[in-house]
Amino acid sequence: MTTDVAGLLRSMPLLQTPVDGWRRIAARQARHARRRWAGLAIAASTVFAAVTGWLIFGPVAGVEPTVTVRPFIVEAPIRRQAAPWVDTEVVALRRRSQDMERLLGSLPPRGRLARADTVGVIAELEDRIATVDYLLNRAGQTPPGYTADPVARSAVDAVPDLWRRRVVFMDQLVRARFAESGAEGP
Amino acid sequence: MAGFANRHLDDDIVARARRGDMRAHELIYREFGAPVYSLLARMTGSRATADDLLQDTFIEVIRSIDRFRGDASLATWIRKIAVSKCLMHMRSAWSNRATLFRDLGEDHPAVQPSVAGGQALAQVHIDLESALARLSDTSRIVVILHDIEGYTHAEIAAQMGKTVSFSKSQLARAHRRLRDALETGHRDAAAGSGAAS
Repeated sequence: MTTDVAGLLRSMPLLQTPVDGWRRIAARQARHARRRWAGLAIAASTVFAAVTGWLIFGPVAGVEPTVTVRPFIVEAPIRRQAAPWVDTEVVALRRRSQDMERLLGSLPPRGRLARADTVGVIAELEDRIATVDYLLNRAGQTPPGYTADPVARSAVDAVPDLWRRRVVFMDQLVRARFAESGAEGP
Repeated sequence: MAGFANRHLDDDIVARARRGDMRAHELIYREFGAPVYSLLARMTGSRATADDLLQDTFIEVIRSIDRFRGDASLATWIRKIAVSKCLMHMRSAWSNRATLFRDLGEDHPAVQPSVAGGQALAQVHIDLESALARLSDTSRIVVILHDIEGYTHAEIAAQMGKTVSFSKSQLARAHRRLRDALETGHRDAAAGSGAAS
């Protein structure tokens, strides 16, 4: 009987791995990957919402944030659609936005002399409208099957709200421009 | 590094694994699963615990393979993860209770008979597995890391947070007990065969 314990230990055969060992590891890793993706998607959506929210919904210096927005161009109220939204609301918002663009275009060119606070408000509103336009443009470029990209999905889901915000900003911009030009609004 | 010796995978497979290729991950498991499982089962003395730790080890391998720089061999890197997982588990309070239900020495269907040594050596291996499972956790870990995996006493001491002399004394004690167990088994077998004839 040999007593070379170390030698015997080294000669011991390998044990067989559990039959479904790899299947369970792969399943666990797949679950982890799904949770990680879901976490990333939520994080991406949250960041997107936070950034756009800050850019779009934050107060504009010089514009009273608590004022209830009254559309400058009086039309029949636009009925808000519950999700999933339908195009009719967006079409109506777009038309209203275009009307205000035309109204802005009819104003006399901006003078060289203007109050600094009014100029600041107008500049900020124009920036915000540009941001909304960028986001609308991005959503418009999102191809079908956008569900794989959480940021793109957020952008598309935000389209009706973006158009609502654009109408509000345009309305505020029209008011500011009328105030700057000394003209009276219609 | 008994079970890990001569195990190697192409760099291409490792590169694919780094990119998240699950097929490459599976190839790594197929290559190193058995030595990892054997090491874990013998260190813990429990197949059920080894099964859990096998999963933990390869999940860790998959998730951190992009940090493997190739300074050591892939086998050494994987073994290090396995040993670390095992020691962490055995330090836990949960493990202290779980060791009451050790199963490695009671059931050995996965022990493959040694082709070279025949039935007698296979029986010695079975006796050895049983004797290993009856050692204290500390003694068993020291003897496996030293005798099977080729760790030095200094490395074992560092891994376990003990002194080199502690590792040496644990090894000597483990050898004595294993030798006694094997010789007792041999005497019993001889007596049994004498009574039968």
